[in-house]
Amino acid sequence: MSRFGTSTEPAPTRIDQLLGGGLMSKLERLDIVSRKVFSGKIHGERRSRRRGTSVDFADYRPYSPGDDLRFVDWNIYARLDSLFLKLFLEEEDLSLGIAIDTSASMDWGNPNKLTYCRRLAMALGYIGLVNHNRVSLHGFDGGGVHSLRMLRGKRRTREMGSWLLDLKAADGDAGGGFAEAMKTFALSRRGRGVLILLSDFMEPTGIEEGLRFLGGRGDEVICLQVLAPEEVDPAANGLSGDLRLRDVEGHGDVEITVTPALLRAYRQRLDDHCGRLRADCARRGMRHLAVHTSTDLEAVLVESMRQRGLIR
Amino acid sequence: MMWLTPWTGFILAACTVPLLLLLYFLKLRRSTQVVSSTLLWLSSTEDLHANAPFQRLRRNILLLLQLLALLMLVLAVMQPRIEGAGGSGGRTILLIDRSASMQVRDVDGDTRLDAALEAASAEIDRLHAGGLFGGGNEETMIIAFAETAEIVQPFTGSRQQLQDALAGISPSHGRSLIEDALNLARVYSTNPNPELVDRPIAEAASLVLFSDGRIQDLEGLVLRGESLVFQRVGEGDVDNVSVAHVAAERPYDRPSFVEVFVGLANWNSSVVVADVQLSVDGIARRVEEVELPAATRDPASGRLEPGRRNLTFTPFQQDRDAVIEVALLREDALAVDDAAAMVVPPPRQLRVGLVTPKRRLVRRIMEGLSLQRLDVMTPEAYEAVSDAGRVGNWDVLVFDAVAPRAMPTVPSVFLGRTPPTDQVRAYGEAEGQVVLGGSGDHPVLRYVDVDPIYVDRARQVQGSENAEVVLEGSSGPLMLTFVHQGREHVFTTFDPIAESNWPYQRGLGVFLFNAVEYLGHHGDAVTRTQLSPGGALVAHLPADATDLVLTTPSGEVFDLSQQDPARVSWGPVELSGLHELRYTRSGSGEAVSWYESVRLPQVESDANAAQEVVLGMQRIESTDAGAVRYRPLWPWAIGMCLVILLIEWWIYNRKIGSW
Repeated sequence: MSRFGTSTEPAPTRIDQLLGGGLMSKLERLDIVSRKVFSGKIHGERRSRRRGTSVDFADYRPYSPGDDLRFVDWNIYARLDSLFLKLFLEEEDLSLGIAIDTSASMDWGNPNKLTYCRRLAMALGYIGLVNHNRVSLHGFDGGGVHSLRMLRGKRRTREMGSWLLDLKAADGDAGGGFAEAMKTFALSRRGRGVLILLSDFMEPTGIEEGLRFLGGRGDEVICLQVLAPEEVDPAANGLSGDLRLRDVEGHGDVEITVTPALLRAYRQRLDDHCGRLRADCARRGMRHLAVHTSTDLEAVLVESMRQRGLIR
Repeated sequence: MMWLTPWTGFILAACTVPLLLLLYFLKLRRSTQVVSSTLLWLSSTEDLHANAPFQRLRRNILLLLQLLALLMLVLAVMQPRIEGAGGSGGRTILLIDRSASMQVRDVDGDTRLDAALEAASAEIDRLHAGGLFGGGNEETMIIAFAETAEIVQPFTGSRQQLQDALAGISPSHGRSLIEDALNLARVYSTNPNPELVDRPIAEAASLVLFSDGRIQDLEGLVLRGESLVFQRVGEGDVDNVSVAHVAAERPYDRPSFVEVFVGLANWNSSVVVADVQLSVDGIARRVEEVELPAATRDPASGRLEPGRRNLTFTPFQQDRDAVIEVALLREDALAVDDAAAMVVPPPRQLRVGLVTPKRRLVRRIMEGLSLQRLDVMTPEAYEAVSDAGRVGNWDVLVFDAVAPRAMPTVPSVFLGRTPPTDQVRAYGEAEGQVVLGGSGDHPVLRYVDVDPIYVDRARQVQGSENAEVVLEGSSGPLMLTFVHQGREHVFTTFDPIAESNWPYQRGLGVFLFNAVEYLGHHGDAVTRTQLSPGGALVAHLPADATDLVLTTPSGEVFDLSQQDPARVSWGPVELSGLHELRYTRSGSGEAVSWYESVRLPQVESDANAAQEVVLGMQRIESTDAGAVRYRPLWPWAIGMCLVILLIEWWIYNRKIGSW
């Protein structure tokens, strides 16, 4: 029997251990859903806020000197004797940011939360690369943010995988908090797009301030709350007796005696925590999804996220 | 279940249980567990701590086990006991009183001895019950005691052996003397072999005494570490009237008549009227109604003094020997003291030889006795007869201020000259002696006033261990009796005629009469001191006696043919009553019976069972035999406590992960 919260699964060392070939082929048919329309950098497959050269009609506007005469609607000119230009929707690429919480609390659980997040990020990033989105990966903890930016196209999959394999969790007492990390992350991020935030959101000082920094940038934020089975049901995973619980991030010890009453209280606290996170996200126009690391990755991507409209 | 010290346990529990709980509050040993975040746990425990301060104690298996162990200790301190079988795992010695008073029938129609044996049997069953509550290493020894003690069964763990040994215990009519039994118990409780290092030098044994408590020698005895349980058998108030003594005499002037004297004792607290029957050879001759006064208790000593009454049957003619029995025609609790018997031999006149250097006083006295024949001779004439081997023609010899060259083979009286024997050794002379004391109950001094005797000069002698000082003077013995080659002799260390004022007193004649009668009729029932149980039966039979067979009052027969007829001994005597020693004289072929009357010790007639026995300063209250016995449970509680502690230790190590 494994010790409580210790992963029995070895950490992935190869890219195919992060994302298997079977799942990869299924992911190629999926795409990230964005409820907002963002301006892109280059021509792409997403509808842009800009008017462009696509075949989709967008609007009319009066002709101004210098406009391209190829877009003048001559039928209107014949009827109204005025020059109007036909405007078409522009299709550009989407900016997909995937931010992974690498704090010490993520390197815990069986299956390990950080490992699960790396796999999940690999899958989501692959979906972005397949759909010619600009994929950026970010790792953040109390010590700061480090990123892999501007990946585009399937051929960047290996580069993305290597970066994720190298992603390590921070030391136990790395200092700083979620809000500080989100502030740093928000200031360093360029452009707007879809931002998927992978974290357990277990922050003693609260997560509201951090979410406020993210929400202020105008990104479409998806919060994936990753929880280990030991966090969801401690008693069923071997927590019992008289214990001194030590926070892996050094936020202090708690002495407990595992009793049904305590477990009920913990469960209630966890539900409250998740509910509060969900409410904060909703208030800021963010979407929230709780993911358990014991759940199969394909089921999360193909079923849970599709049902919630995060992936199509 | 009973608790011996419940309050001690309650106090201990009141002190220790809160202390244990307090220690748990103060210092609960916890194992450390790393978690991703204590955020939720912290808020959860804060809520619970606010609502339930004892929450941390709930479902704490270690605390539960420790409380359980503590509870077991408290239970052990409270000394629980359950009714039932099983011993303490040690050595137990059963002391069974089989004295005469144990013959009282006051236990549901059975004798006290029967009840004691039954109770002892139940005790053996309890000690060797086996099973969960049975002792596995019980060892029990059985000692039966009356006048003497004997080991009926040495230490053994076999219940069957013990029960068989119990069945072999027979009643005795002796006194109840426990000192020998205690000494035997101590000897067998001691490990004499220092090589047996696994056993202590002295193992204190548990003694269980089955008795009515009428034990005569308790004074001066103490327990030396042994624990004694007194299981009383019998009641404290029994109805008993006894024949205290019986004696018979042939009147001096009418030797063909027999006069019987009876002493009766009433041990009841009320006056008793009883019929006393005199039987001769089994035929009732007389019946006298006697009123016996009530017994009284001496307020100083607390002893019961029986109401006594002496009865004399008028002389009746009895030319030949006869068995005379006196019986109380009244049923009471103790039957063995309701009758007494004795044998009166046929009248016999003595043949006496007087060896004297022509002195007249002793001769005159002897001539006044009623003798068959008196032969007076000089020392020289005696030596000639002695050399010729014809000394056996006399029953008694009297040496008047002379000493023979060799000890005579017939009982003799030596007056003033030391007999040639190693039984007395003369080492000097003392002058001017007065009598300090005399053995007044000795037959030779019966009716003799010895106080006025003044001895001018006497031999100073040292008697052997077989010699008995009958008269003690201010400078040494004045008169002794001793036995030489099976014959008893009397020796006065002074010459009564020349060296004392005795000739001027009446006592000299009476003494000579007593001495001749005593020595001449020694062995006759009429004059012999009656034997008590525990003593040895000794008979001096003719040299040609063969085929010696002894029959006890209970009818048991013992063949004593291998013994020397000159000194036949058998003992210890167990029962009171007439013991018949039959033999055949090889010369004439005549079958002869010799009787010994054994009397019941009078103290055994006081048969009221005692409530307690006192050994030294220790009073041991009686427990009725068959009363409920309890088995202590505290060892089990201690054992349970240890087991629980072991389990607690194992769980503790599992929890902290050292295993």
